[in-house]
Amino acid sequence: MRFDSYHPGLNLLFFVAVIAAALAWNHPVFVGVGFVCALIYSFALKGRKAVLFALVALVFPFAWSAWFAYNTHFGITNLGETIIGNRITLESLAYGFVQGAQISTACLWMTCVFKLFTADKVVYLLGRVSPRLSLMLAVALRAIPMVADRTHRIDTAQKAIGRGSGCGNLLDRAHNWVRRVSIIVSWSIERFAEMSDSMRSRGSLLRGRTAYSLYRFDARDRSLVITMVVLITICIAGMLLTQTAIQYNPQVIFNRMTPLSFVFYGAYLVFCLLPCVLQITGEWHFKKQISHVEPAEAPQGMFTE
Amino acid sequence: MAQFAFQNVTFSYPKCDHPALDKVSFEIEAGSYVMLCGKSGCGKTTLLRHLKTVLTPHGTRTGQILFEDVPLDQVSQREQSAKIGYVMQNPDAQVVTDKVWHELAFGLESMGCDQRTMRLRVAEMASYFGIQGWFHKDVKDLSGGQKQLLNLASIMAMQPSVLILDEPTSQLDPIAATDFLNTVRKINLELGTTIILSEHRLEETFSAADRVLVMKQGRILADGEPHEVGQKLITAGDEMAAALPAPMRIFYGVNSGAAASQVAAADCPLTVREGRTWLTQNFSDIPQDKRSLPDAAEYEETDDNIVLSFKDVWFRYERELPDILRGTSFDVHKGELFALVGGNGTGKSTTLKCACGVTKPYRGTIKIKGKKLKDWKNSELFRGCIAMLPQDPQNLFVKKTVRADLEEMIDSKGLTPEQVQEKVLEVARTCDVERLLDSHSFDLSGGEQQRAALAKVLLCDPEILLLDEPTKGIDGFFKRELAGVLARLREKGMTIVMVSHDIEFCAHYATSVSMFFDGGVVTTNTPRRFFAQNSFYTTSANRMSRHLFENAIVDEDVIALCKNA
Repeated sequence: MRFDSYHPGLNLLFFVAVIAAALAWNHPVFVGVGFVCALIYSFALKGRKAVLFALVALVFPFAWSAWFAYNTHFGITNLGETIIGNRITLESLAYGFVQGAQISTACLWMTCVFKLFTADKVVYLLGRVSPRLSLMLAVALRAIPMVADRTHRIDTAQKAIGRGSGCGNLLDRAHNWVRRVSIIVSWSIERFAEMSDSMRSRGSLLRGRTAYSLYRFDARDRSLVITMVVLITICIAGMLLTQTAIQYNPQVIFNRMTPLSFVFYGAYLVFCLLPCVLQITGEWHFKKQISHVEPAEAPQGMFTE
Repeated sequence: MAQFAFQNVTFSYPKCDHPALDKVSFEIEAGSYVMLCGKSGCGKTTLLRHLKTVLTPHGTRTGQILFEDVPLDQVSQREQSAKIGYVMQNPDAQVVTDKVWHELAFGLESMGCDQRTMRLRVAEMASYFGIQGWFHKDVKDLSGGQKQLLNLASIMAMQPSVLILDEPTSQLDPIAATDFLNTVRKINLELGTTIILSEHRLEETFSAADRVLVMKQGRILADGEPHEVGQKLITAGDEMAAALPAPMRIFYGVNSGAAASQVAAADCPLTVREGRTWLTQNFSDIPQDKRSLPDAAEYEETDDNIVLSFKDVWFRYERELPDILRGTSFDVHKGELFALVGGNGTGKSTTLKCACGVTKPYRGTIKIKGKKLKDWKNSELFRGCIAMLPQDPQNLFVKKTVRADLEEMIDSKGLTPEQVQEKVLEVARTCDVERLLDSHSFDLSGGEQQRAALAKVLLCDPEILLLDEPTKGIDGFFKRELAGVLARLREKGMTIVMVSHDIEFCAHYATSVSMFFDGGVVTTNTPRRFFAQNSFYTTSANRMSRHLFENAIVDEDVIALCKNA
């Protein structure tokens, strides 16, 4: 039901689009919409765990704005002076704030990316570009925990003869640590030789490698991709009509707001909210289905009348 | 048509005088189940690696290797990759990707299969091998047995016509090993895939094979049907005879000497079932009083001379995880070889880790030589008191050569270099690793590594030696050598606590055996009492003879009773 149950290609398209939009468009409405949607989605995905990062994201634009205005002095509306006598202007404050919000938005979206993109998806997406490259990634993903596990085992073994990482004085410990690193390196080399035998034995050197796909592109994905493309097209039209950016230097000048502007705003809002809406409707739908499965009458128990 | 043919193949590694393969000739028929055995270091792996060009080691070679009547070097890589499947020893090192599904698809990806074909083949394999349940799992969360099964499945996905397995079960526990070998057997019977398997666990595979090849120092020593090969090994008095299945050893133990070459080879039992039948047919008329060996004394639980004691020890790795040790209590007396046996994941290894303070229990007391473990200082504990040999001995080595590894254990203060060398040599002699001193630890075979690691541990000069599965991955011959080393150490007054899956080894050499189950010791007894009481968890010799004899737990017991009749 979550957005990650859709094809990884769609996940990628969505996040590339929203992050690019967040960084490229500095119209306050677009920035605001992007920021709020990213915040909502990060909560939808991570629940309570999103709070801390959300707070940082909320404070960051103010901090960035202050720092920016302190160092940059364009604009015509003078608000005051810094200690060393430089001007502080409304325009630079505003621009700094918008820029800070843009960065916050992009970071918020990235937290969602980390949550949604499993290693499988990355390997798959990379496999579409180059099967060999995606294989290398998969091998690396296998090797890292393996080396970590080995380090732990070596330490345990060394501890049991009194030579572990926590044994002896500081000098002994440092010495033990160095020994361990050096043996891990030789062990890894040895292990990679074995792995490469196993790979070559299964034809990894042959030409024309393909990549297995766990995912299928189904009708649901198709309808979503059409929706996304339509919305993106509208937003790009907005961009071509210079509706997505405004001027900050030397003065804040908004574009003219026409009824059409609201179409662009709406399209962007709907696009940014897509995964959230899909998740919520999906869950609601699923709950309804489950309640159909369960018996309709109330359970008969000791405490019910 | 022979699937593989070796014609007078001789091969030597660079800078090595002895050929690793010496005029080896044989043919393997399609669909057969061939077993390759021999002492470790006899050239089994070298031979198997010659069956696939990408794996063939560097060196000089003469002679011809044919695959389906074509010289192997002329068979394209693509064909070799698909048709010749190769499973290696170490389950962990062969899995190259992070996910089970990816590993299954690996070979098919290499072959450039399209998505439809891959999906179908992967689905087929996952279903055939029962992998559906863990299809999406991370490889790192699998057990050793599962990993090895995954390796097999990922190779079978390429539909090979021949499957080569190089000691595939040496790193697995007995139950996983039996499962794995049964699957290999099933592939042979149901799909007709040719199997070439090298193994040191002859007990389970010997009876399944159509044909057995025995190697010795790069030569083929015996080649033929299992019964014949068994007889040949016995009459030739070869070391490998000790590794034969128990029923076979008992049969030839009874018909020893000149009789061994006179009995019909086909009469020899290969499995416990055949062994029981053979005993019933020949020895059921033994009078009742000659059917039993004297019962060993009951295991004495005295309070004196206790060197290691566990009292109600509870342990868990993390707060949320379940308890591993649940009130473990036992006492080990001075000079014992105390064996802990039991299934996987019951907490045996954890017990050893607790005993040497690597992990700390959250309740209960552990006493070493009457003093609480908590009160021991690290420096005192590991100098002359306790030391543990871990399950994978390789983890102990941190230097370039075995010698350097041994030297670093010696506190060289106040010792001349000569004295240090003398100490190294002394311990190397005890463990029989003198000629390995200048090798890199990674170049040693399983058995050699085990003994070198033991040497290193012994330099802690422990009074209590903890061994975690010391017989894992080593063959029958090295097991006996290890037993010899342990016996010598006990003579010097050392106490040994051993965790093992190897029932036969415990039955032969332990002084007391404890059954470990569900985080605690269920019972402790002398091996004879212990194994004679069990009916499943006991030695082959006991299972084979328990319907006739009492208290016979090792081959020698059964042989003695038979001869006595």
